Amino acid sequence: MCNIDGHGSRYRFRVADRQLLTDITGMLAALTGADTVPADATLEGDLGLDSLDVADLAVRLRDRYDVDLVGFLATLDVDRLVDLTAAGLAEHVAAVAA
Amino acid sequence: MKVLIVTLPLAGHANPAAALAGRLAARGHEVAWAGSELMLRPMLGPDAVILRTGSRLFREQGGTGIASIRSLWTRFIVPYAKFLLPGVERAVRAFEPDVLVVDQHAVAGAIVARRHGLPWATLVCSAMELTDPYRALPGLTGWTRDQLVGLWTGAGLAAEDFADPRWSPQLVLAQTVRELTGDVAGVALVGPLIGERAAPPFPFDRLDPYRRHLLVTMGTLADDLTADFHGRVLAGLPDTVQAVVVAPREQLPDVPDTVLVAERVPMLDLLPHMDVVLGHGGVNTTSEALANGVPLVLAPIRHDQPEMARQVVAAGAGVRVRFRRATPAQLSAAVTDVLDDPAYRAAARRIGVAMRAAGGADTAAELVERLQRTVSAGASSVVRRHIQPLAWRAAVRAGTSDTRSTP
Repeated sequence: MCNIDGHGSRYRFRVADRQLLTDITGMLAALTGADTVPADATLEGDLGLDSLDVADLAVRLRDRYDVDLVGFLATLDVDRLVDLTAAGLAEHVAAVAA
Repeated sequence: MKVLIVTLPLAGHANPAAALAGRLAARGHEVAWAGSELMLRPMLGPDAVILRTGSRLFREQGGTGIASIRSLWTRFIVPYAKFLLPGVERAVRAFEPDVLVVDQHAVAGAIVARRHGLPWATLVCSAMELTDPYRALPGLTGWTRDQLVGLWTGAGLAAEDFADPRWSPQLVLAQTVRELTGDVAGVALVGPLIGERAAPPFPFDRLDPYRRHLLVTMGTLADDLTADFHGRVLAGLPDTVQAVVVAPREQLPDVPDTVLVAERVPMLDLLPHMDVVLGHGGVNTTSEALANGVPLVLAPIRHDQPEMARQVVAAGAGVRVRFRRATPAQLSAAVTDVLDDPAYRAAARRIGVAMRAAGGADTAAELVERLQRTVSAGASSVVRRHIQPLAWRAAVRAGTSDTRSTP
């Protein structure tokens, strides 16, 4: 809206990203029943998300951000699938929702 | 005819193949196995003919989800195929089979059959491929294919001739029924192959006739996660249900006397006494429960188990719970729900009826006979045009298919 300069813009974007990351980790905490979810927690290994959870998460992300989780996962190679973190997911949502 | 069986040295793969071997032998055919005598002999008994390939221990795989599938391929299926290739090659030369029966994940058997232009049947012992459960993840399915192409070319076969060794073009025997998988084209759905097998002793007199019975069987990979799961199951269980838990005794030191704990059970004799099975969704135990009309609560952990659970739930024969996070109350509610709602048992019985109608090992044996007859009646030229004997021998000489790599 009022882009004063590149720095200002980037700063605002970073704040938005941080908020988004907080929202995503909160969503994952609600899903898994964990108290907190660190940004670097892997979805499958650390959080133990199974296919039911992924389906659940996909609905939440679609409803809230209009993001297609299954479509995103379809672009990842096997190592990235295994290593996907809360922060990685937030990054994708930020890129798509921006 | 002479049939060579190539399987994996795991009970869930060797037992169904043994059921088929038993029917083939009873119909007058000569059956031999290519594999590790050390690992196969205890499962197959003293009379099986085993053409030895040597033994190598590949660790059972832990982990969950996609990580578990990745490690299943990189640490088991691929190294085992490389290890087995020369042994299967020798077995085929020595035994001169008319037909091979190859476990879907014993890739070496498929490659050797292809190399010799021999007809072969795929035996499906897993739920991981048939319904293509990971089709939404091309990153995984493409990678899996790359592993197979690597094995194929490593064995001296030309990359442009690649044909997926998980699927025989001639006969695929899948141990399931349409009621679970839906329509699957080009595959013989023969139902589970269940044969005679050693029955360890069990204190049947300790089953309380006044209570309903829950069998808890989470597979052989007993670890901390399983111990924790058993604790949650037993913590919430109502008094009206008696549990039989398949687990090492030391994993459950403080259970009341009424809970029966045994490391091994006579599954086929025990299932008719059970009202519900709580399992991890392994194909064999799940199929055996359904064949006995017993509904399930499934807590899948790894590999193809989530897909097996999905099929059972979709067919109405059970419910799924979360292995890692289900609370005692949720587990108890799931067990009670399946016990109290007759619809689950009715669905399990319908599947059981379909499984018996599919014919199991008898149908499978008949189809293997038909495969051999069809091929010897003239279709063999179709098969043989794919042989690459020269390429293979050249590769052996050049050492490019040296298979003694370390996993």
